[in-house]
Amino acid sequence: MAVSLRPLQRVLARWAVRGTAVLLVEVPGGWAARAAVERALVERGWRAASSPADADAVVVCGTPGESWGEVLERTWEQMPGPRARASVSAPSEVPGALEGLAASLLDDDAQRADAASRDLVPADVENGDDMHPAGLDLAGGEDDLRDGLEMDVLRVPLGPVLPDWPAGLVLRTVLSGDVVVRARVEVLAGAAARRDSADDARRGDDVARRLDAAAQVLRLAGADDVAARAVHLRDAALPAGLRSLSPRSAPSPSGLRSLLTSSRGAGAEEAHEVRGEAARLRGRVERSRVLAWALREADVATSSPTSGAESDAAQASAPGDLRDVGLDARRRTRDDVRTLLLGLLDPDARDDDPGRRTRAALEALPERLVGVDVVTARLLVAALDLRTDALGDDDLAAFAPRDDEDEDGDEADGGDAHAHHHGHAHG
Amino acid sequence: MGDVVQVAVPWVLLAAVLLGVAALGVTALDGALAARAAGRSASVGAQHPLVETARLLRQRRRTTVAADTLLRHVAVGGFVVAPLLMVAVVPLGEWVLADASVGVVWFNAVDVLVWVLVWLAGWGPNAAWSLTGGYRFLAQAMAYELPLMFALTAPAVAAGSLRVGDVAAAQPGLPHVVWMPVAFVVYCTGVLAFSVRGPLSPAGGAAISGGVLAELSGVDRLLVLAGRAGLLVAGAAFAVPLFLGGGSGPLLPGWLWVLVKTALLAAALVVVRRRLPDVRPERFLALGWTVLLPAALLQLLVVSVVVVVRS
Repeated sequence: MAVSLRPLQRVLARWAVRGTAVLLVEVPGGWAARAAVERALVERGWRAASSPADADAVVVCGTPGESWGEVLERTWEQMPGPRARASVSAPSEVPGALEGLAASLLDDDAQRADAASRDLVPADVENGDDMHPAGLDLAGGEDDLRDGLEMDVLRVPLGPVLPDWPAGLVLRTVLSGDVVVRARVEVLAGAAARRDSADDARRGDDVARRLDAAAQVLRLAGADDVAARAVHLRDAALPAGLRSLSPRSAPSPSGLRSLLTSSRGAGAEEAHEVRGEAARLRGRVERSRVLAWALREADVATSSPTSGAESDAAQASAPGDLRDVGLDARRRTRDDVRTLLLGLLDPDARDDDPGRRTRAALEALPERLVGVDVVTARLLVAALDLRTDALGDDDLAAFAPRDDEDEDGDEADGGDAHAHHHGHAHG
Repeated sequence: MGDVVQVAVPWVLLAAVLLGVAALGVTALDGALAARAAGRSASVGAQHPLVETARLLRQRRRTTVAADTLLRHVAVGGFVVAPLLMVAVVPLGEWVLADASVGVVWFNAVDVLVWVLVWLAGWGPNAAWSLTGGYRFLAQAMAYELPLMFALTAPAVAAGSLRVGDVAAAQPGLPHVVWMPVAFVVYCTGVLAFSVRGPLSPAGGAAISGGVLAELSGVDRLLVLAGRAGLLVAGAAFAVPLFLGGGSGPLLPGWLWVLVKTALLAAALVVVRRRLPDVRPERFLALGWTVLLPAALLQLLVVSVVVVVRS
């Protein structure tokens, strides 16, 4: 039976691999590699995966430091299979790596062996009881910041394996419903030895990086076609050294193709043209009323910047004021996303010290996110264009991951039910 | 009126095939448009549904720790059943699977069933992104459901019947869309919202990593993807007897007109949905209660007055 199905399985595999979904994991310093992988995915007709469950393959872009070990292993565990993994640290490695992924995914025997070798139940699931299903605590309750209704409180780490998310950033959040109650910033660093070469790679690609951040914001906002345009411009704006090695496939804004193929370098004329295109894209985003409407904050009574018992007391005394504060904070956040997006698309804007800017933004982030829902939070984080690869050693020490699993200053006895959702497969 | 024949149950297979082909069609169109936007050949993009089907058939199913398996299966299976239940009352020319006297209410009931399915799909995996998708969908369902309900009422009031065949037969020469355009637009907004994809469907989307889809893989994911494409098609198909004159039209037979009109409307919805960014639930709530609902009620008032004057 199995033998007679072989040809059919091969056909199925070949079709399946044509649409491979690749989970991109960007390590600080892996920006150029990630951009090159994204470009190669489009050329192949592949796509970026939205979550580990959606992914056939995972590509680690950059060189991970020690703190990445467990994260990468968990991600690998969560992939359903057939699965394959690769890591690339430079754009030139991308074509070979993707070829390898395709070959590995097509190898039915190896994939079968991989599937057979995996446990049906994740390794650390214990026998639970009613209050601790599968050994996990139940989610605890806490008053919702918006309307005082009790909502489940979840500990959810956002990142580092998250599409359109800064490299290595982990936001350890406490969510009430979909609203951030508390957040703590950690950064998983790239391997120290690679940081210098990353510095080299960063030179002269500022316009490209800001276009990239803009594309991420637009993708998160669901404006896929505009985002595709921004990605197109990003690739055209890349310094020649960071483009993938095949000049044939180097994308360019319309009308630039000839320029690009005749001279591989990002010449002055070309750079000028890219800036013009970016300015046009900025105009398009600025004029879009739908986008402005979708990004603007709604007039619902919303969050307060305080939490827990403190907020209860305050709400009892002056509910109106607090709501106004919260509403104001959220509205400002949304305005900020749009303003920041327009800033990213401004070709004349300058970013003189991305390292210092990123550190300041990361320090301010936890407070800024309180009372903001996860979607707004992700938009804001993307719009801030956080360059974790520009952080110095002392910055990284300040945001180093902590061993203790408990949240800082966590007085609520909230559970952990959703924080660790390992996936596992059954065939 | 009532010139619609109820066919035997096995014909449901034909309905399923038609629905499946149309679902492939809208997904292919979506893939082609996405490929073109990314600067690639649209014909390669149009193969997306076939490639994705092969990929998901080959992929293993995956569960999460402490998942609610029963509810998850109900949700996943329900996604393919719901669109079938919707088209069951849509007459294909002179034939219909279920000539229910309350067909319009039936459709409405099934679209409310989608709430349950999306919520269960969000709850089942016991995971943060899925749950967030479920929360957000319910929040926005409050925005579209009531306007949609009143938009469905308008053609029924005009026809004086809740039987879908009667509503289709009540518009010879002048399709309802011509004199109740507001109800039609509100209805289409509702279809975009309950098909769990695009600007009006916060249950998914990039910003929450796929939301209710985030933890699904393999066949589970395939069924949900197929189901939501089916919901878009079923929504378009139901608009044909309600607003677009049913099977009436020159030259072609009635059943073919129904298919053509369904295909055109479904394609239009795909194009519109690509052009819009994601609308957040609270934004959509404001729109739903301050614009869509009053507009739908006004439309209903106009229709009712016309009906009274005409009789």
